[in-house]
Amino acid sequence: MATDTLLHTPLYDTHVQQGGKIVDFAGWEMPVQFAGILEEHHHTRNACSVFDVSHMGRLILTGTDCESLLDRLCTRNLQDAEVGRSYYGHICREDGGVLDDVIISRFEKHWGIVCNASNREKIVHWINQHTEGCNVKLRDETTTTCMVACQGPKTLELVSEFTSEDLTKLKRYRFRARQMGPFRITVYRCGYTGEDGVEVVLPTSLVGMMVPKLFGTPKKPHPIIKPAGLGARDTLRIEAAMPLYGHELSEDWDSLTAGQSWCVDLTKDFIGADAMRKRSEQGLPRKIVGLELEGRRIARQHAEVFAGGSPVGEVTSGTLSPTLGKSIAMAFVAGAHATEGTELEVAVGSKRLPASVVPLPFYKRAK
Amino acid sequence: MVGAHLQYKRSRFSTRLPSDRLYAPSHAWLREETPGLWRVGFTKFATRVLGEPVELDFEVESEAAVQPGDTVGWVEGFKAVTDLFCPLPGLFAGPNPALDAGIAAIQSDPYGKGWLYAVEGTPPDDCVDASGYAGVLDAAIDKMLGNTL
Repeated sequence: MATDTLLHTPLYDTHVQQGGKIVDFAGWEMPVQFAGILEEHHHTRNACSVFDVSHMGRLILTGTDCESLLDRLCTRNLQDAEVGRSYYGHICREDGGVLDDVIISRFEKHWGIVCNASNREKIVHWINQHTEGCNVKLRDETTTTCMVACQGPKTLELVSEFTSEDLTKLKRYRFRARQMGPFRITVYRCGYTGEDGVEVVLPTSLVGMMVPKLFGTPKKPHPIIKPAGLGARDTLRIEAAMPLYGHELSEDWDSLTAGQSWCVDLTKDFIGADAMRKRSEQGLPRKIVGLELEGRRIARQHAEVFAGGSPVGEVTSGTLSPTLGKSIAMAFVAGAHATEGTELEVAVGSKRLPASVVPLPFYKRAK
Repeated sequence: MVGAHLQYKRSRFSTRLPSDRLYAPSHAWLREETPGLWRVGFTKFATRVLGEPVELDFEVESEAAVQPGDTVGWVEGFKAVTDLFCPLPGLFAGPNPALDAGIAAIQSDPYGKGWLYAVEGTPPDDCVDASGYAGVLDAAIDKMLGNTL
């Protein structure tokens, strides 16, 4: 794809100036790494990294029927959703196939949805298909706002300094929105790394003001806060066993079969619920497991998993865990082979490497 | 890297190309250590494309006959596995023993301690000097930028 067709986030020039290695990601030119995946990974686990996640879709829904519409579109129960709270869930087709995994937030006068960059157009289209006869209006704020994820044990202390609010009082999956004249700045206490942290959404016009506060200046960079790229974001989320659309989630499987039943409420009605109830009655054909492989080779997506020479499943994501120093992977395997301690094999290159089933997540931060 | 070199810069990529060696179109360098014995390593461009290496192995034994284009091993990065293609004909003279203790030098010092393996032989004509390799880099970067005229 020629570079002129790719989108740039408001932080693109900052990434280039910081030495980011830029790649094409879901139609955006994004930094895959700065100092290196390993260094950024460890820095996130020990201090504070900032990830540009402005490529992700940010949709605003207004109107009196938002709650009932979103409750019908999402696997999570959003009836009586609290103002100031965010809910992770899936948007599915009638047959249960996952169209996207999203975070839905309830503001006082509107609702916000954060979706994957690669699924934004699909989700906008899907919502618009279901708004007929509803008092709901959708606005796409993806290109008029910026979103950064600040992640790591030192984040709350550092970010509280310039938001002049004590963010430690904000509970997980809660957010605070502050209106400054025409501008709205929203701070969410969530993330995709397994660390504590916040995600901040602000208008593009305020990015120039934010950059020196976050990163310092080229001559005097911030001593603790450092930029991190999509490479480290992936190794961090795999250690934390967080699903990634296109890997653990896809239109081919419903949320239950994808091993994400925790975010599905089968006691309510939503698009895909009937298919999932049926699936639940029939029993799930497979389970998601954690694998620890012998050696340092990485098991890639779609690598076959074997038990006693017979294929029993496939890898969805794998990496060399920087925290554990071990080759780890998530995989879907037949239920009979999903018990912790089960010895399996994974096809890597021309070899089959021994792997054992271990509990997920691979990494859990100290509270 | 101290010593004679060619400074190269194009788009967002810059490197110093040491003048004391040859370069293969597969983005490997070759330096003659003793007459006929060539050390082979990745250029900085190759390491930039590969990213951080996590594992490496060789698939040929020492003294095995090798031809240009033969796969002598592979190196795994976070995002992908890359085969190591031999740039010259001859006899495989073994991997860099220092890599047994850790392979980070492949990226941190690609033209020095991070050399990959040695081959006893004679480089073919497609191996060029630093200024010739600058042309190879121009073409490769143009291709990545989509400027294929």
